[in-house]
Amino acid sequence: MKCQYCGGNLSLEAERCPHCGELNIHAQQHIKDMHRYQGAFESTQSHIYKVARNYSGITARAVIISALLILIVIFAIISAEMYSIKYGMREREAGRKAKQFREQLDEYLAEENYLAFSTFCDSYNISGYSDAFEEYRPIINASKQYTYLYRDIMQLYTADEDYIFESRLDSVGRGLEYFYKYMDDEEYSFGEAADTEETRQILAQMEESMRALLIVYCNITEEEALQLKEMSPAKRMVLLEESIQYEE
Amino acid sequence: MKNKERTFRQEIIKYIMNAVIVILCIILLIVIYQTVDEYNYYFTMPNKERSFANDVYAEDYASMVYAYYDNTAEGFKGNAKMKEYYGVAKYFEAASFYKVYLETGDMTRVEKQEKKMEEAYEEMGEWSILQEEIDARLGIQ
Repeated sequence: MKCQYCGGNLSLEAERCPHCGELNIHAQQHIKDMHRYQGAFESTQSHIYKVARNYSGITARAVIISALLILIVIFAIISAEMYSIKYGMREREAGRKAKQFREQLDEYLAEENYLAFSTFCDSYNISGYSDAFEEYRPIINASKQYTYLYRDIMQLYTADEDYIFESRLDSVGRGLEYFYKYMDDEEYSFGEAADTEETRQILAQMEESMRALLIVYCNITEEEALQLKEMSPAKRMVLLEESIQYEE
Repeated sequence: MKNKERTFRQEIIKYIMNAVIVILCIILLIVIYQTVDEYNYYFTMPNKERSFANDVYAEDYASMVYAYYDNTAEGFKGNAKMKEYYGVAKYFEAASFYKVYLETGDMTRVEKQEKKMEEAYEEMGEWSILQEEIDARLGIQ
């Protein structure tokens, strides 16, 4: 640009003309504008920084909240599914080692150790509804009741406190109801694989063992023990109560 | 003015989010505790030494038999102390069936149970003092 006084060359930033020394009015306006622009720029910049900081603070918190929610859901699912996780694993193990496990179950049955048989099945979630253990289905169900009945009968026999006596007597009555139900293939289907002479023989042995426990520890006669299976649950309870009280 | 309002709103949101984070952390801690508890329940020994000690104290030997089978089925053989409790459980079980077979006159099975009682007695260790108590409870001479 040119100086309006001497016509010499001027730069926009020069305050005075380097040739005549007069004031450069364009430069003054320019410097004023630059100051204004600088101020506006700094204010916008600080505002943007502030907004960005605020938004990044909110975003960070939102990410933390999301992560916490995901962790809570994951742990809640694991906690709720712990039973399924464990027994799913055990069931798969039983499926993989079916041959070895069947040998173990047969050994327990040969020893007439129904308590070990039942707890082993419980532990590996062997219910007799999978192909690998189908032939054991009624034995598994009956042995489970046998195990509960053994515990209840022995507690009934050895307990000192009245409240244990009442509750165990009730449990024995209910346990016998289920025990005899699982023995009866007309009331409870054994399933094709379990409908064999061998199964019936094992169930008969288990029934005989239970009868002996009831005769010895519940003080019922052999004749009464033989009739127990056919009795109504109410009649069974009355007989047990009378026999045990009579013994006392 | 607008900017100030917006900043104020953002500060409130941040405050609320901080509170939500604190609450979620507490919930997470509770859920983790619950998960560890469930894990211990399902993946460690189901019947611990304390439980057997309580059964001995309560003279509830029948529960010890069930607990013993439960532990062994789960694959927990236990330490020396536990093996002594297992011995008590095995003794009680054998003694209870010994009485049954003795009274029903099945001498072959009586001998078998007698052998089991002897073996269990050896395992009872310091709890062998319970032998007399168990025999008396079951009415075995």
